[in-house]
Amino acid sequence: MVLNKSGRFKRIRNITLVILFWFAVWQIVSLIVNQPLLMPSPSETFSSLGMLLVTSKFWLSVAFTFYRVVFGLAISVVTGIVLAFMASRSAALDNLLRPVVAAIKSTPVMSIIVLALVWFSESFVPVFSCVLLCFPIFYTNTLTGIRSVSGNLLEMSAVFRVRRKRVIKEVIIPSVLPHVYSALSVCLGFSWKSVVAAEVLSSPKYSMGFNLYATKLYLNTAELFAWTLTIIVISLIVEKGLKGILPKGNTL
Amino acid sequence: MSIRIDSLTKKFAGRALFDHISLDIPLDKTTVMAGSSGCGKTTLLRIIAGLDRDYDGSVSGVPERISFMFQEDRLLPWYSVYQNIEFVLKDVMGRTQMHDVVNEIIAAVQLTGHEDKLPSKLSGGMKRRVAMARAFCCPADLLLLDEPFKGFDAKLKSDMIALFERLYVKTNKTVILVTHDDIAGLGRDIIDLDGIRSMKA
Repeated sequence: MVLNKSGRFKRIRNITLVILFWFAVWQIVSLIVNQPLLMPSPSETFSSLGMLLVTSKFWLSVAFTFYRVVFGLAISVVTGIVLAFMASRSAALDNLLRPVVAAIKSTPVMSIIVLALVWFSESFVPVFSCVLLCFPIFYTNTLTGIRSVSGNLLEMSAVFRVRRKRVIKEVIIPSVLPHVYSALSVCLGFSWKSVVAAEVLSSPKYSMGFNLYATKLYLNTAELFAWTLTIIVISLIVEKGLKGILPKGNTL
Repeated sequence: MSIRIDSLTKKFAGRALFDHISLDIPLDKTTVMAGSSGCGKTTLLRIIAGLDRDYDGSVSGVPERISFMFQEDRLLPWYSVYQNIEFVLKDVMGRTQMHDVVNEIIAAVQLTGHEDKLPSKLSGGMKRRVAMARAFCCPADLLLLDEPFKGFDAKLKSDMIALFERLYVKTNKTVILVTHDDIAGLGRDIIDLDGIRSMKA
C-alpha cells in the first residue's frame, strides 16, 4: 500500500493512539489489582526493562535467542523448500513425507520440546523445536505453490521452447514465492514462541526463555513483563524488517 | 509440402470428437480453420502443436519451430508488456536485436507507451494484443492462431488484420488460423472442420 505524507502521518497517529489506549487499560488494571506481584504497572515494567538494558546478560540472551530463531527458521526454509520441490517430482517421496508432516503438525509443541530435551543439548533444543514447528508449514505451502503453477503458462513456455532453467526461474519460482512468503509470515511468530518456550524448559545459559523462567522462580513479575515486551518488540521489528526487504506484494 | 493428419481419432470422456479424420494443411500459406463451437478447432491446434498427444492416428510434417497465440492470453502476471514479449525471444536472439524486435512489434500492435505496465493494469483488448505481439515476433516456421481477433473493436480489428496480412499472408508464411470472424478472405485455404467430421460420421 502506497501512502502519501499525510496518510502516513494519520497511520502513525492511529497506531500511537491504539498503543496509548492499551497502555492506559494496563495502567488501570494494575491500579485496580494493586499488587505488583500479580500485575505490575507499565512504569514498573519499563523501570525493570531499563535496568535490564544496561546488563550484558540481557544483550547476550537476546542475541542467542535471536540466533536460535534465525537458525531454526533457516533450516525450516531450506529443508521445507528443497523437500517440497523433490516431492513435487516424486509421488513416492510425497507419499512418504505426507504422514510425517501430518503427524508433526498435530504433535503438541510441548511433546516436541520434551522429546528434544532427551535427544539434544540444551542449546539445540529450541532450534529443533522451531524446525519441527515451522518445517511442515514451509513444506506444505511450497508444495501447494508448486502445484498451483499455471499449466497454461507452462504450456506456453513449452510451445515457445523456453529453456527449462528459465522456466524454473521466470515461471515456477515467481508462482511459488507468494506461498513461501505466506509461510514465512506465519512462521515468524511461531518461531519466537517455540524457541522461547523450549528455552524455558531446556534453560540454555544465555536465552530469553531461561530469564523468563528465572523471573518466575524469583517472583519478579515486572521483569517477566519486561522480557515479554522485549520479545514482542524484537519479533515485530524482525517482521517489519523482512517486509521491507522482500519484494512488493509479499503477504507479510 | 504439407502438414498431414492421418486417421486421427480423439476422444473426450468416451465420446469421439474426431473419428478417423484425415486432412492436409498446406505449408507457406494461411489456412483458416472454421467450424461451429465445440467442433474441435482448438483441440486440433493443440494436437498440431504437440501439446495434446492423447490421440490415435498420426500427425506429420509439422515444422520444428512453432509460435502460438492461444485463446487465453497466457501472460506472465509478474512481467510487464515488454518483458512478456521478451520472454519468448531471450533464447533465440541477442539483446540488441531483441530490443529492436520487441519495440517494433509493440508499436505495430499500438501499445507504445504501455511497455512497463503489468497485465493486471491492461484492458482485455490490450492483453490480447500483447499475446498477439508475442506470437507475431517469435521466429517460427508455423504460426497457430486461436481466435486472435476476439475482443477487438471494429477499428482495432481491421488494423490488426492488416498487420497480420502484412506480416504473414503477403509473405507466404505457414499459418493456421482459427476464427469465428468473417475474414475468410485472408486464408487461401479454408478447412471446414464440421464438414470433415460429418463426412467421416
